[in-house]
Amino acid sequence: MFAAGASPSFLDRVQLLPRLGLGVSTEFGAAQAPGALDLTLLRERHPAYAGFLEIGIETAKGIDDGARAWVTRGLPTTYHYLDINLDEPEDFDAEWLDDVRRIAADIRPAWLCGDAGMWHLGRRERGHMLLLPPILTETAADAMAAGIAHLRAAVGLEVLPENPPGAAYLGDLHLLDFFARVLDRADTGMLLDCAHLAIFQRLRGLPPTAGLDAFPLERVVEIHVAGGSERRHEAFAWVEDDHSPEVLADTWTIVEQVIARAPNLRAVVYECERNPLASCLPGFKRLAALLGG
Amino acid sequence: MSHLALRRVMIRMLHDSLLVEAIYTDPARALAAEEISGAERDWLLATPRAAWGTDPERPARVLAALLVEYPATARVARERVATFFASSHFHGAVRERGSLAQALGEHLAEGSGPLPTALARLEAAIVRTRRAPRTAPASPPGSLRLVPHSTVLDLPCGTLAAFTALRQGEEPADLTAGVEALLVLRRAPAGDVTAEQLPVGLAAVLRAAERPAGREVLAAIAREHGADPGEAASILDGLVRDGLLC
Repeated sequence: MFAAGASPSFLDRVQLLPRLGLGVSTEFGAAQAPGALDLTLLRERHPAYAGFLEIGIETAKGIDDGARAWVTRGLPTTYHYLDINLDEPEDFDAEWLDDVRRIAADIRPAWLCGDAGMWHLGRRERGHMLLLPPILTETAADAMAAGIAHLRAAVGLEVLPENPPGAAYLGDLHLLDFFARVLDRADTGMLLDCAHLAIFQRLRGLPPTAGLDAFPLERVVEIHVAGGSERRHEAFAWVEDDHSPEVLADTWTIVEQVIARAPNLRAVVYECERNPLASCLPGFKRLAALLGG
Repeated sequence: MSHLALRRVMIRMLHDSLLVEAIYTDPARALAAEEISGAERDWLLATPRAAWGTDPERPARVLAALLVEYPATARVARERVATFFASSHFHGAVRERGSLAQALGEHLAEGSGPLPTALARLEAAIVRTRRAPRTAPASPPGSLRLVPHSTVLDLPCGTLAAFTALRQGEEPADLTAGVEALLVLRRAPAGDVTAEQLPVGLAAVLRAAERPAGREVLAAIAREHGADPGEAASILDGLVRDGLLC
């Protein structure tokens, strides 16, 4: 297990984090897909919607030309990891940590963040990528908190766990209770993905905002907003987190409550990277209005 | 850490519909070997069965990704390929945090006939070599060892020719009697992996160096295979210069 280090509390540290506003996300190759969001065009025509770029990174791939162009211009970024299982100590090998430090020194992100679940089964290899949510237990939360503290110490940047999507969540905790424990044990902030939370609440048959009242919203530093599609497999209804521009009503309900009640919110990502700009503008406009822009 | 064990069961269920069937039909038997609690078993069973099939194309996608590293074997062992996710090799790799690519190689090397078995062993060696550490630990003073990003293996004669033919889209010739020694080597720290046939003497030296071995021991093996007394030392120096021994 990892050793925890002493440091100022997160609620002190968060005051030093920059306010990034409304931004967009990308990952390797996303901008090259047909019909994908043109980051340059978005920044030129709607700079308020492109305050920063969240770069999804597998260290084995690095960053693509679109992200490189953004970084070269010195524009703000965040580093969204796509290749670390935070609750598996074996995953923090020296080569991976070296690669993360090297990439972070290159793109100079405001912080690290990303889905806190399982990104790959076993080692990092071809065919191993599979995003699964964490097992929602106290033991798993404590293991994840230890991994977050370890990564923060190793890289020297804040590490904000994100609640992942899923079609099956196992465990005896509500997802928000799980992450409240993670945040407390790791003394860190949260990237709350509102679309993923809506997926979880629907699977559990709960209202969209169930559990938010008891959640430490002062630790929410960033939120994600994205569209999803309602699917059915046999008799099982679920929501695919497909980052379409059509944000579900449940997600908007969560977004509105969190923006109103999260005093340390620094960044909002509208995850629409694989859609043309025109189809994304209504979502950007609504988010900007919620943020007071 | 039973949450990791539970998650590994979930992973296997997402790839193997036979396991899903077994767990929902007779959970006590299907999960008997798993290090999960009764509560964790109940969470699995409380999940709608259809939830494990929301991405029905996943197994095919994963298999396609893995077969990129088995281009020759895949052409001659199609039926064996199709049973991978129900195999003990797949389930063992997930349980042990292993490599699916290596597990596929082990699966293909069993029960497919001499040619598929030989090809699977060769391509599995390439897979292992490609994943070998970037750096090698130093050998003890006065000794040498084969670099970790290389493998020496004995395969039936004709394996390398069949491998080459299949990769070029041609029909392979039959294997013949006897054994050929092959060297699988990653040329640069993260470069291409090549396979080539080794002369008998050189294969003997390299095989002896799979664990650190004294220079005198290796030189003696070279001399046993026909090297002149003065030549053996320069052969070893050459192997070090070529990046095969360290």
